[in-house]
Amino acid sequence: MVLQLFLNGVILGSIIALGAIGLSLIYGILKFGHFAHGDLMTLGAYFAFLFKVQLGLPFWLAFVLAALLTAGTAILLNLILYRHLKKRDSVIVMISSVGAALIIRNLVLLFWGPQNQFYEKAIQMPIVLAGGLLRIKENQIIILVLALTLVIAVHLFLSKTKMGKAMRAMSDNIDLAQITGINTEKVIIWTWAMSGVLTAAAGILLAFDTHLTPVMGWNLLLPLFAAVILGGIGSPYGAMFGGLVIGISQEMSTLIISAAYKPAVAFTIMILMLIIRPSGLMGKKV
Amino acid sequence: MTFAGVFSYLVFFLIFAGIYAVMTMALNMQRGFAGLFNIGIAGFWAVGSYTSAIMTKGPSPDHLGGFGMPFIIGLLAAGLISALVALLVGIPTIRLREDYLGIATIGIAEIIRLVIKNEAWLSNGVRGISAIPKPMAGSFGSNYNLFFLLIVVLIIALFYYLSEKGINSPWGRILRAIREDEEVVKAVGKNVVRYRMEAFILGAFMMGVGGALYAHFTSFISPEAFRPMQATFLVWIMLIIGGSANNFGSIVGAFLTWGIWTGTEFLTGMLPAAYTTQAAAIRVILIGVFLELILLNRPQGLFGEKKYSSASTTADG
Amino acid sequence: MLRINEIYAGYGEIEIIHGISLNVEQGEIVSIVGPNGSGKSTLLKSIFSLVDIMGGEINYLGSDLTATATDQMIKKGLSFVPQTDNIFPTLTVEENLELGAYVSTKKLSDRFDLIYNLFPPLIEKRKKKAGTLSGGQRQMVAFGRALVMEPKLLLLDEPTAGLAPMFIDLILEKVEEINKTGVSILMVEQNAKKALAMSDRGYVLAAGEKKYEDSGRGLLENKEVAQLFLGG
Repeated sequence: MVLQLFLNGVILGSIIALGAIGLSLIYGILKFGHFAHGDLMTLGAYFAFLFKVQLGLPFWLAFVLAALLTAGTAILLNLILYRHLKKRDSVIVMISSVGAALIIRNLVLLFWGPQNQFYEKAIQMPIVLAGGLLRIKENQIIILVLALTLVIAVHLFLSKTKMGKAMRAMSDNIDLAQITGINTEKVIIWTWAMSGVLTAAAGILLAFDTHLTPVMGWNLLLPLFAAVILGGIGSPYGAMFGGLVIGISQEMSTLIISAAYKPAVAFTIMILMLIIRPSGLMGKKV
Repeated sequence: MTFAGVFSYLVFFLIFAGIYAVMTMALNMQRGFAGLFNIGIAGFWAVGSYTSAIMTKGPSPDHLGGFGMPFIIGLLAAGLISALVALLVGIPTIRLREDYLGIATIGIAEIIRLVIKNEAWLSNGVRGISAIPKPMAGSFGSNYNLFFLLIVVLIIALFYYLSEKGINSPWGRILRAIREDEEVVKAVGKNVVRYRMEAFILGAFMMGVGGALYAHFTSFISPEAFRPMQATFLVWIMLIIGGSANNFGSIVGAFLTWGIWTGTEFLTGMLPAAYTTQAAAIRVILIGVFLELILLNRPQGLFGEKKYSSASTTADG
Repeated sequence: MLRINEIYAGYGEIEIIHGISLNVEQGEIVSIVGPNGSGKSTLLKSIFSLVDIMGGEINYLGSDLTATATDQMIKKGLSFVPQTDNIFPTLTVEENLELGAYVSTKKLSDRFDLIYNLFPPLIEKRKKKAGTLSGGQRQMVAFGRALVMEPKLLLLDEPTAGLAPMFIDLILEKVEEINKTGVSILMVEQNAKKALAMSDRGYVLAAGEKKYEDSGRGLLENKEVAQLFLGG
């Protein structure tokens, strides 16, 4: 039971982690909480639904196309909204992102309807491990492998490439980045692109594990923010770690409290973190 | 439609717009005057609605209740419990950056929704609370809604008067000074966190009362009765259109936005009945696009920020 | 190599620098001194377009800096070390240096060795996060980042601010050492006496205007300057 919950937590945690990396970098670089992040996740999942189920493309291709389209959407949001609002009060940018969230969610509702959708109808028999203590579906193994691959890819990108280092540098100290001659506009576009890809991946993996609904991403927004704050705003590695902690805590919490209150766990951890150490576990001082 | 029909629709429209005006003035107290970022309005709204419903209803086997208190006590209790929630959310977050408060308010709104949905003993869960008593029900016959409108108008007037008085008092001057330059206010030894907290609580009180009005007018509330994000978002649009830190603008912004929102209903109402879901989605998309256009093109709203006297005198009071 | 002509600069509507002219020649150390709020830092920042420029000209090796993008300035051999927040704290020392070479397309690892020679304590910290270093070492990282591109002119905004006394002399010695390798220096410095003593020329600013301009020694020996600005 405990082992099973832990495994479920790791699966959920990896999905949250993928979404939180981009949210954290955007937060660190552009200095605002992007409230449309959850709904971008939803959009990514539905793009994949479009390609895989409605157009009948193979899963990997649907995945790639959906990730690219979501990255494009993220860049577009920055281009038409956030870029123009960033000189103003950050609350204005955040409200604009709340607006973007509602627009995206309702576009999804408009095109794909309110009912649950599935990537595949067939029911998978779980693989039983550890003498019946642990059950895992083939899909869940794929989710873990894909999430791990993406996290490693992100790590290599951030630590080995010039663009990745520039991203971290901008999240650290944007004024110095400018003085260093970093093309900040270009880095911002890349950050949105990377966030879009990771967010779409998170959405697709979540839908792959369960199903698609128009509110799937919105429901994960609070855990995403909790992961970001736990790891420290602007710290991509903190976000990965935070995502795992939040995912595991949410699943394990059902040992003590009703499953209905799972979302409250993320909130509680976040509030505790804000009381004890607002800069997060890996963040710089804010 | 007959004249009477139009008139009764107008009254109905004004009551809803009026309740939103209460919410907008409340948000203006928090955001406009104190710079606080609250996107969990729906949570305070729900707390107000449920508190007043439970306080005023007679005994019911479905949920907590049986207090049978008068309407006015229901309103007060709604405001107080909502203010209490604000205090609890505010303690850990209000001294931090404004965006943390925003995230926390979303969280608390979500938790309130979960509690209402799952604690059936308290709120009858997803089935909601029905037959919430209306004040002086049955006294005015077919003109009852007109009477309810009067109550709403009285509350708007009261909150308007108190807000203006508060904001022109030494307390209000310090609040505005904090928004302009927090450091200066700190330097003269004022407890900035306390003033922010007070504005947050006052706003939450008003939201609770607004929620109570909503519950009594509709007689029925449930976790799904209104879409929380949509309600929160509408109030924000109303505030932004009316111009920040401007109570008069808040009221006009609320009526105007509610007019536009209702207008989109007429528009999508022309679609065949089979498309109700799509119609609702289109309405939200339209109002969302409308907000973005306002933010991009007219950030100060229609009325801008009201200039209150001696806005930057920080040392006195 | 740098000629500032009648520059007016500030923030938004507020003008802080009221028409100052200044120049730096090849190989010089030039110091800008003056009381707090005299506009020293603003003047330095205006060269890098970090403040709003309201009038005047800034010419560096024949090009107009007010119309030059930052990456182009760096390619032309100009580098700036801000007073505070001048490192990337969660990046390693080496990554800080790499970012100093961001605008370059070449590999500059041999330049890193020169920097480690100049600041030996950084060698064993190269894989450490810069934010974990001591104040003096952070300043070394900040200098290193600015030196990677082999600048011709280095702008230093109060390089010794907030440092322990033992580091102040060390950092100023390093400035002289860097200068000896052929890098011209323009710096704003609180320790006016020490700065002027090592400078070829100096400028004394007050209230956004230039009050005195002389050789470093000349200013130190000027009784008026000494009384008004150097604390007797």
